[in-house]
Amino acid sequence: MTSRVLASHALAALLLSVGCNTTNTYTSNGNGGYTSVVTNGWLAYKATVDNVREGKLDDGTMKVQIDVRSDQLNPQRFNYLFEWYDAQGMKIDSATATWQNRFIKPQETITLSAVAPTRTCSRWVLKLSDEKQPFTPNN
Amino acid sequence: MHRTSIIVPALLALIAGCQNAQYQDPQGTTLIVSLNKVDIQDFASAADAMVNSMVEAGVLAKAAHQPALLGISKVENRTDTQFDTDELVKKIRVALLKGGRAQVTQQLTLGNAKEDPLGDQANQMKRFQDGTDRQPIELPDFTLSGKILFDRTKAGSTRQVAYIFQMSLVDTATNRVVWEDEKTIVKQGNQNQVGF
Repeated sequence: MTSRVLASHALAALLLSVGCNTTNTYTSNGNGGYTSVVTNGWLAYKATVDNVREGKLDDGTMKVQIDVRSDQLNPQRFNYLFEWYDAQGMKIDSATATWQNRFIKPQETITLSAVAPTRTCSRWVLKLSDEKQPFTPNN
Repeated sequence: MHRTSIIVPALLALIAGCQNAQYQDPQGTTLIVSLNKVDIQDFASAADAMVNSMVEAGVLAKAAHQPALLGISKVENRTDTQFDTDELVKKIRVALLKGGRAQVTQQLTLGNAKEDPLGDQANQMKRFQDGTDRQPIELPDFTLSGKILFDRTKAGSTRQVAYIFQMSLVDTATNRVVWEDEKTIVKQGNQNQVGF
């Protein structure tokens, strides 16, 4: 019995260390709104999309601002990445695209902004993922 | 009991793991976060902020040439570590070029150092052969310059390093700075870490 408990604890620790950090994805619908695929409830609890504003620069380049809210009572961190697509649904790679880490205070709403890498981009995808470790002031 | 004594240490060893070399996604979250140097994700993040800011300001879109003609001026590394500032500048150039917003000229370079000397020679010979070598050369609409600064501090065993990326765009027609921005990246901790 003890051996089974030990083995199950070890398995749980393994799953906790390697699993569960799935990505939540928010995709523009082309009409100023968005659809979401939330597979990580814990992440959605500390970073969920509240509001989206789309606009165009003078040269026609698309710009987006996304309000992200935390429902947590502790400070948190999360990672985000913007991807861009043209009208045909082709992904447009950006030379500077990278996952970025953000700090969010308890119950705070922050704004993530992005400008499309080319004028041909017409849709955005925002990917959110959890940070590697739970937040402590020193990590 | 015997089985458990094998399985549990094996699982724990898997968790703690001796790790063999693996490829990592250069845009991903598994990269090393260093307290003693600028990491590749820091350059990408700074370049992203600069390009977004520059494009949003709209100055390149108002240039006489479209795409705008850009000259690369001095970009100084004033940190305590050695790196090639092209880790930042090239990302900005690629993003502007691929976005159809700017092209870099070789006609006028800092210290007359040509990035592609053969390309420059070929251009000179073509201009001579075409009889256009006495015509004025195409000068850049803007020049890009910048500095990378750092600030290091410590509280107890917690170390903090800030890298400050500053960039400016000068309109060569007026010699005025028409765009500037600054991006600060702060990293804090006791030691370098794998992933963020």
